[in-house]
Amino acid sequence: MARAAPQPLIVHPLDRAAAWTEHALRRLGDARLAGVLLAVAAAVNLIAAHPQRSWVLDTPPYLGLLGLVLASGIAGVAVRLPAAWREWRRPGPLPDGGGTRSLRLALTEPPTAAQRALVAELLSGRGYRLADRQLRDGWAIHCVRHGFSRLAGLASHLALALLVVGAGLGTAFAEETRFGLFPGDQSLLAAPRAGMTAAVRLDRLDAAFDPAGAPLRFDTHVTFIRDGRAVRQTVLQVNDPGSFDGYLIHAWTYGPAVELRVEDLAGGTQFDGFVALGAASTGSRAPFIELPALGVTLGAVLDDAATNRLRVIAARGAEVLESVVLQPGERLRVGPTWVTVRRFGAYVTFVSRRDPGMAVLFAGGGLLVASLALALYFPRRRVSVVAAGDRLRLALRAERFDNPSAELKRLADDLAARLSPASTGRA
Amino acid sequence: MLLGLPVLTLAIVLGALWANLAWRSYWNNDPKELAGAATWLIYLGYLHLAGRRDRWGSSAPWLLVLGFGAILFTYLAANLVIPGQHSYSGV
Repeated sequence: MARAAPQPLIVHPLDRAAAWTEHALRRLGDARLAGVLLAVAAAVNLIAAHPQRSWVLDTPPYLGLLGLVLASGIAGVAVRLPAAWREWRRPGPLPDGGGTRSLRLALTEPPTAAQRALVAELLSGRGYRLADRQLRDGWAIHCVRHGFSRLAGLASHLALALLVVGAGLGTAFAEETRFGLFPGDQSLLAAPRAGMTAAVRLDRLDAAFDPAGAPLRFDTHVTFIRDGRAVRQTVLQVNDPGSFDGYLIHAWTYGPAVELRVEDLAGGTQFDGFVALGAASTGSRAPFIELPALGVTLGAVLDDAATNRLRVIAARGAEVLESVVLQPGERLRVGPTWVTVRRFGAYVTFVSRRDPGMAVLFAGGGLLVASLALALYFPRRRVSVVAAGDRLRLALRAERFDNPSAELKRLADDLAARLSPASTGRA
Repeated sequence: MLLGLPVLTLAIVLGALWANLAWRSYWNNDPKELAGAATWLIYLGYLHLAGRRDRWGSSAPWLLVLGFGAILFTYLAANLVIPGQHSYSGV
């Protein structure tokens, strides 16, 4: 009788797509590929450490490489997570080969349920998570210790993804505002908008310098304000910003300022406040006072820092009308104005930032460190004990960097003592 | 390796958090940061290849040699030869 030719298997396109996707994920999540990608990324970073070659970090190939590293990590998790979860929940048999060490013990009597209970108690007491199975002519116990370690290793890959997401959120949605304040001034922490009432007021700046003029201390005393009410006073220092209502507030630059009162010749006040003195980093502050009512601009410059002498220059357009040097407390006529120097002070420029990705970055960083520590400090060990017929097989497999010889010997000795086998032999 | 990699990771993460407070940015592509990141990546690469029972696994120890070189580079060269934000008073 002629046999029918086998019918070709009809595969649904979705099945084919799923198979292809799984194949691609396995390739992408291969540890060898990950090792190569990481080594190449390391080489690029070393090259970029030279200041004139840091541009390579902004090139599309490097960004693509980082994307591949991330994709490889996620693929590795996708491929390994189901098996890792299954193994942790219900450990499976341990095959020979692949680093498995095993011993075979000869049993003097057929395996019994009482022996299984003894072995389970022994392994459980050593911290193993057990799954036992009844066999046709015996029993098997498969177990894992520190099974969470493998899950932690996979979590470290997800931590990298969290870091990237956090950085992306920060790049896309972070806001940064710069403003300069004189003592007593205040500013909103971000651009004005409905409901935005968080503000900071500069109370004073305490600075100290050593005899050579090097700064010893910059203490910026500020008050945080919400809804028009002072909420909290604090001191901002270099490398120690303050936080308020989700904003991180840095005292960023500092400089001298002078408090002036300017009157017209009839005694009417034209200006009364601080002027920043000649620093480029004052942001919108400049050492000028515009007096439109008089058609005059006053410029202020520190004439002698050692004696606190201030030069005030009156100008109309490009024409300098008069230049006068004053000391604190002095009131002199400068052009068509009377200028009074009240006191010297300081301004502070602030940087206020809000980064919605910061919490994600914190979580990613914490998860990365914790998962790596768990995965490396608590290596998992798998054990299979199979008693069938007149033999008992003890198999143990450890993670890389972990030498399980002592554990294997201890387990074998304990098993031998509890089961009293007739003889033992190493496989 | 087992002790050092998590500690190096912790150092890099804490350094980035500190840089965010002090320098307004988590990462500045400073030579010290890049050399530290390279060291970390090399050891991560080793972690992925070590323990394999094929030629990839037998080649992995070379990454340890590279990693040690990267440590020296990070510790010494990134300050003394290549100055950056981590150079303080010429050190």
